[in-house]
Amino acid sequence: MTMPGSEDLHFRRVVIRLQGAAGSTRSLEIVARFAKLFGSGLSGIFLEDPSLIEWSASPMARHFSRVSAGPSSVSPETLSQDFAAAAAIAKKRLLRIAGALGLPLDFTVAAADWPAFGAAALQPSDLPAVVEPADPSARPSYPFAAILRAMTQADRPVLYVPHGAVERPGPIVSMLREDDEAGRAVARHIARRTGEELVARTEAALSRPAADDVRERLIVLSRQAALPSDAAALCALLSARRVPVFIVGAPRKPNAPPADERTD
Amino acid sequence: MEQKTPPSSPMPGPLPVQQLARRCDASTLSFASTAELADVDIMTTQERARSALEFGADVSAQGFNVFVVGSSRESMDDAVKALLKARAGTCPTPDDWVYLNSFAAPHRPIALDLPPGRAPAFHDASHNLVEDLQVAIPAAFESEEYQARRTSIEQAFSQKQENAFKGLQDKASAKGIAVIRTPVGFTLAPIKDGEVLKPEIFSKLTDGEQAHIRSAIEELEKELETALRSIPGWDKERRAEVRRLNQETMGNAVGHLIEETIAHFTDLPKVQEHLERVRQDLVENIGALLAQQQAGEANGNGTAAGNAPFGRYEVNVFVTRAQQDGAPVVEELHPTLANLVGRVEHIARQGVLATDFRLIKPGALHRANGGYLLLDARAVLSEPFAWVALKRALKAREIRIENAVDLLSLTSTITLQPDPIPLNVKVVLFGERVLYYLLSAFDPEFREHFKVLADFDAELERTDATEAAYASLIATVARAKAVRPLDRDAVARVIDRSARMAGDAEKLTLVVDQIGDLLVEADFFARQEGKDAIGPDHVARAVDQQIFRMSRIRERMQEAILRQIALIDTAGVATGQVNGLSVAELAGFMFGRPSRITARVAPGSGRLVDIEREVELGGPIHSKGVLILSGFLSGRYALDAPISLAASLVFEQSYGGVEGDSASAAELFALLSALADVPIRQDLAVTGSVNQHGAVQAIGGVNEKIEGFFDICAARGLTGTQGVLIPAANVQHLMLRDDVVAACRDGRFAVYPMSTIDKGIALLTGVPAGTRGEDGAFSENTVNRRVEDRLRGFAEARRAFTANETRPQ
Repeated sequence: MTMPGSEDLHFRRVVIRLQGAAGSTRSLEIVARFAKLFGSGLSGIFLEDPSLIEWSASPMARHFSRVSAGPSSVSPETLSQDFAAAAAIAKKRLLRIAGALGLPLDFTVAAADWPAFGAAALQPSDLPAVVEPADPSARPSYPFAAILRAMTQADRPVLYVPHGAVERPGPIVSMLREDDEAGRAVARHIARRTGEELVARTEAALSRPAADDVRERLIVLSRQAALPSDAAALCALLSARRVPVFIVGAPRKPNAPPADERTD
Repeated sequence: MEQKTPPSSPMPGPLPVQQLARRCDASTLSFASTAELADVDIMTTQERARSALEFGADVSAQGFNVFVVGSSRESMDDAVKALLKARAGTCPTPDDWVYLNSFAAPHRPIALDLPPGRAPAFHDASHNLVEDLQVAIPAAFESEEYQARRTSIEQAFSQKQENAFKGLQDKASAKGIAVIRTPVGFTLAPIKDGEVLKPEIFSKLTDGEQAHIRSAIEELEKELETALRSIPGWDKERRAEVRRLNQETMGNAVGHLIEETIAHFTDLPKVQEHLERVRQDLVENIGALLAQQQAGEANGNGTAAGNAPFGRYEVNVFVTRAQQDGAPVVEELHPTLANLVGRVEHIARQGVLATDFRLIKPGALHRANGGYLLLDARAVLSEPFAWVALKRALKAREIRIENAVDLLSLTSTITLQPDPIPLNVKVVLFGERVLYYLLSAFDPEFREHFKVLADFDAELERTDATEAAYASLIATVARAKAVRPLDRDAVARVIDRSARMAGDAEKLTLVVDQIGDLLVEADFFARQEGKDAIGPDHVARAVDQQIFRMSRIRERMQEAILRQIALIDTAGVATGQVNGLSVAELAGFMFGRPSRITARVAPGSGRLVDIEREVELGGPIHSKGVLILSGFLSGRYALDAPISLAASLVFEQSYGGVEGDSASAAELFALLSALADVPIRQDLAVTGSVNQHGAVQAIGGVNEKIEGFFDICAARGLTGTQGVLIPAANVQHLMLRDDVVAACRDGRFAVYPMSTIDKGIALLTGVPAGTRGEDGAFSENTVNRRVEDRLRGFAEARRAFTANETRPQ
């Protein structure tokens, strides 16, 4: 990846983070088309949690699902099998989506702890993409909650696609801190690449519905913006506008309070 | 007791020329060209058929369908069609029929009748409605309002889940536990520094810490279970709310469209009911509709006939009378089962055959419903299941669409079962007489359904008046065939030809199709000569050409005779040998040819051997004729002694079958000649059948037979003595060719009528036949006397022979 401040923004791969709770096909397609627009390849990283697999050997580890009447036992073997099956399904979906767009796809299954956010599998020119799970109960739960937290603390741009996001023509809306010049360059680049108008708003605008005359295509958001640390609240905020959100800027410190600027 | 022998009479004289052919006198025709003559309806010459058709067409009782028989299919067709169309024009126009989707049972489409001509409007209105729905419904469901309300419902549902799990997660986090989403569900695990605690680290915790974690997990598990159990209920509420929203949105979107459509059909309650059902279906099944529409967009297809998912609201205009005034007259030339009762078509979609109500296609019965259906009986009988289906429809008085595959039970695929449609049709079958009588005899249901026979005469009585009427018919046919008009002389020649076709000087053929063919051919020659009208020469040339094209076999046979390959004498005399005449018909072309018939006699047991019969070359009627000869001999001769005769009769050089009794007179002459030992003139030929009393009876093909012998004689050179003996009863049938008539006029050839064998034998042998005198014996030097004497001699010889045989040794 070229430096965020560069006018020549380029990602070699758009890397979709996948885990047990899957995102919708439409969300995955949005990511794939974004990759195609930027001339990037598509990559899928399915995260397995080795610690959880180890824990499943504990007699205390039990499994609950919507389809079973009560708890069932779980073991490293069964959990590994479940992860493998979910990874296979995710790979198949991505292959179909990438194939339809003529995109190259590589797919890996990574054993990574949540805080690491799979960083070990990423290369400097990769753009990680986070796809919100279709299952609402998965959003405040681990590992997605941890992924969200890691997203706010990452040191690279992240593409976030909320569940139910739509693709539509419209301006690129930037919600950036005043001093976020690199973020502004990224926003300009995305606007130029998509052929859309660039509209600037303050970060606080994210919490309010889009104006009638501005039905944006994508939001470019400073990571330092007023994002809640709570995963469910963060989801709700990012999903409110139902468009992809491109998060840029320096990483937020863990447990840092949200900025209190509320100007538009 | 033997009847009295017919009195012997002088030899018959030749027929006067006037009796050899009845030529139409053109001067009696009061026109110069057929262009002056008005069209006539052929039905005016067919009183019997006309009245039958009028009765059949008008009577409404069940089963009074019509079977038309006759020889001239084309002209019958035209005449019947014209008659029925005239009737149909005064009948009420029947209803239109449409098929509609049955929303309750899609495999049973609904048949709906509408006033004549209204179906297209209903179809167009429904189609417009569908097009509007295709726009209005997606627009309604993509509207901001709908999306906002839908999102609100979805978010509320998501929010409930998120809240439940967030609360659980918060509570768990406070106790150092994480709620973890696995690929297939949830689990709880202790965490430390954001990572799941490894079992070996857990085992190093104090008992108290372990117990605390265990207790916390057990407590949280209960809450997790509660949260999970709540989700289906929340989802059900969500679905119910979405359904209500969809129905409300749909109702608002389509309500005014349905109302607008109904407004066009305020006078048709059935249409209104259907449109209300459409409204109800739209509202109730919006989920399925939207899913189908999405699937259709994704797959590029939809229901069987496309236009998914709103195609179910279209209208299949099955039969419409929009352009029609009066009852329909429909002719089905290819009456397959499907073409008769309709069919359900299928469309292949991704390897699967699919269908729906829009693919129901009408049959001839549907199109003719309320009017007349014209069918060829042979064609109907030739098509599998068609005849049975036709009878079934007539009996049930309804048209039920049947599939041949289903009737054979070859497959068990689900297909449509459209509502049957009430049937009120008059079926008119065309066929040969034999077909009518066969069906009457062997199909017990036939008479139940076809009670009216319209029998077209093949001939018309020939009088001056009918000749004039026939001229008008010729004019009508000429115009129908789009040929030049005929001048008066040409018409006279056509009338002559018509009589010849009828095989009777007193009749004119009503096989108008053949007259039409003759006119077309004559017109061809007239055009070649650049004439504006067809003249008599053109007609004559057309006749000659028709005969020439068909006469190759005749010429080969004549050639065989002329080259002495087939032995036929046309001069001299011979004993026990006579020239018989037969007629052959190949593809409608008849021609006569002479055959040598010989007889040999000897003493015997009274058996008359018909060699043709012995070798199974003779048909039953021929055999009957020969057996009659035995009766004649037994009854006339040697009354005081048994017939002790062994005689054989044969058609020489006949290698095909012989049928008919028209040679029985000739065979008797040969036999008498052989018995009397009196030679027969070979410059004469004979045709006629004979009864046991010696009376000569009429035969068929008399003209062709005479001409057949004439052609041989003419080829060898007419001697002036040559001629043909025919039954006197056949004189009225003579319509001989001009060259034959001319030869007779010039005395180069002759036609002799004979009413009895005695007259014939006298002419053939030059010896009087002889009559019995007062003494009961035939006169001396007569044929009969010689025959009787010979038979007595045979009887005595046999008696002597038998005595020698039985005398003791």
